[in-house]
Amino acid sequence: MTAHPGLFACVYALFVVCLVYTGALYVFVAWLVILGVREARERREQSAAEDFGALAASRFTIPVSVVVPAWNEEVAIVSVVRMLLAQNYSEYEVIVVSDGSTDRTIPLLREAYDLEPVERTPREALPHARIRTLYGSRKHPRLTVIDKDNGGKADALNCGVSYARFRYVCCVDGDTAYFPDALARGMRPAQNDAAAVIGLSSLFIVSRQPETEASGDARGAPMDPQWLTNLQYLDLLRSFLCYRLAWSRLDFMLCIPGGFMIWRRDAIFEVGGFAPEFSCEDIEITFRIHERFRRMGRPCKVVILPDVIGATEGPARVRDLAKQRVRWQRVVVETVWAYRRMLARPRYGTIGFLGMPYYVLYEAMAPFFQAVSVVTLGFAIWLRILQWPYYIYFMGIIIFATAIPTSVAVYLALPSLRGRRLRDVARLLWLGPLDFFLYRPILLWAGVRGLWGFLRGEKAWGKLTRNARTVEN
Amino acid sequence: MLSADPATPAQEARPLARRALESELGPGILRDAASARPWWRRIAALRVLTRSGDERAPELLRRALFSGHKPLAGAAAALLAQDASRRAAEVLVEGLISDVYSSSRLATALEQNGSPVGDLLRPRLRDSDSRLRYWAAYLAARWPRADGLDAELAALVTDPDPLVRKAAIQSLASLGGPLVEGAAARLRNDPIDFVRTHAVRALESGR
Repeated sequence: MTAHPGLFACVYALFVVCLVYTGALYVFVAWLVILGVREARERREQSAAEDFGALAASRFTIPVSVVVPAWNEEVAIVSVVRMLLAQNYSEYEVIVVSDGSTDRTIPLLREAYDLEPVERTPREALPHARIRTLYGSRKHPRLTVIDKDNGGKADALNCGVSYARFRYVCCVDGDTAYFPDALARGMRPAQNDAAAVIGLSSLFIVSRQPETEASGDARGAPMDPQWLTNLQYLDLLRSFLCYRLAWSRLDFMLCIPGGFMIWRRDAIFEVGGFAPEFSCEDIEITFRIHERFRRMGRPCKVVILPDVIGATEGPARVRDLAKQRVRWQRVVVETVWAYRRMLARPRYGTIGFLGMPYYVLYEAMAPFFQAVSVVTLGFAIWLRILQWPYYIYFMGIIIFATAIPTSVAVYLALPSLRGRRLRDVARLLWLGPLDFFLYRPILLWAGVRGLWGFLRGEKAWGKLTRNARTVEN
Repeated sequence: MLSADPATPAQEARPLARRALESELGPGILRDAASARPWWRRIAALRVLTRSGDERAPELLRRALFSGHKPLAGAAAALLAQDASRRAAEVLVEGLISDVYSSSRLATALEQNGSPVGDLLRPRLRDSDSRLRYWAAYLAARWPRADGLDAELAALVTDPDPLVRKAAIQSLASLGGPLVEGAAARLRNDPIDFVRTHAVRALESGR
């Protein structure tokens, strides 16, 4: 084959760029994993030293308003609310906001909790769509249900936060099941340092039957055998226990996940509430709160905990997973672009010098570099300059390096995996190396699509197709 | 060591902790309780001491509480809550007054500890620091009924700090007595909404 020497040079240059990028990423990830292990150990020791029973029963425990935005959540809403009303916590309220649901979300809630229309005025209000009816429950004084016009998740959250009475607001998903000690565990750092702790979240697991997991019936039961669910579970474990814990330790926790995000109410109000103009509200508000508080030189601690507080449903089909990840990638790029002013600015501390560069290079731009690697590989094969033995060694190293954070995450998750069969834990471990072949290609494709969607200015949200959940309403 | 494991029930842990302290491990446990690193090793040793009912525990827990290290201080507060001795309660009050750790956590620990510390907190109802007036008023309902306490709480309904007014009316309502109605009626027109809410609740509870 004869090819232009310039093409060889170009392929070689791209190969070097990708190699440097990958090498730097793995060095950084190794550092994060080490920090994540240390942070997980410290947080677990703190949990072990805590008397959660006393904390939950005390009248001095900081009260929390739980806000549940729900749009067409008829499948799970009644059981999710039931689990939230069964929290082992002294003072809290649950505010369900139906965001213009067109299914039986409101009728089911009305029937299950004996709702009646009530009048209530918020102390201060964030902008949100018109409220149709506000309900109180005759059965549960803690429960408020708001039926409002559709305005998106951020709008529903703003509505719920407006009616929240307490100092901390815990925003949760209408399809996620929560353990009875979720609030007690999640709120622990805030109880100790309410002046500095502004945001909190904790680990949750992925399952096709979240209610069964959260009810404790799953103890000793076999793990969900579906490989896609297992891979998402591994992804979540890796993300929380290896990376986010390290970010939290380094004080640049830039994404409090929407499935369980606790915020100090005054911080949400100060930044003007959740932003409906972004594709996703959780990461954007985390960036915005950091940006504002750090710019003003005020304490702003956002903490991630390793304790499992609930179970959520992940997409069960590759197509749905790809759709979800396309949106996530678009959201990351949108947010990083909107807050690019924090990059390399000393006033933003570790966010400016570690968090933002990490997000730009390894979250926002990752699909670009990954796609370039694949294209370079294609050219190298076409030009017959790829040295297969070296390439196979290289791939072996990459797969091994990718499996390390997964194995560490499974090790760190062992306390929450107790009660599982040994073969299920082994299954998670051997899925680690396979992740590279089965899961990463989906993420790569979705990442490229998401990046492209951002460049085209797409904003669509899209709702996850529900699995056939065995929920008794 | 089972006696240091938080999951071991208190009744089972007590004899184990005593035996550990009397064995050759005892000096090492005391050394660890005073200054071991990492902090969780120190807490494990302090847990053994507390569970054994050793009289040196409150002093060592006091040092941990005042160490300035938040996780260590938090764990010390949780252990002081489990130590039913008067000295442990005194350490918690001292911590509350000195503001060494989250006040609400120390108040939780004081409530759980259960020792009567009204004599230590009552002078704080007239403290110049509104934070201390607030906590003294809030915890007042826990004390055994003392002469003139309700009058002191009723006097706090004119406090410039709304949190103190709220705590005073809450505790007064909880104690009951002839002064509740007058104090609550006075706060019913308070400029702060949450004070008014508690005044109405106090009136309701008196009926």
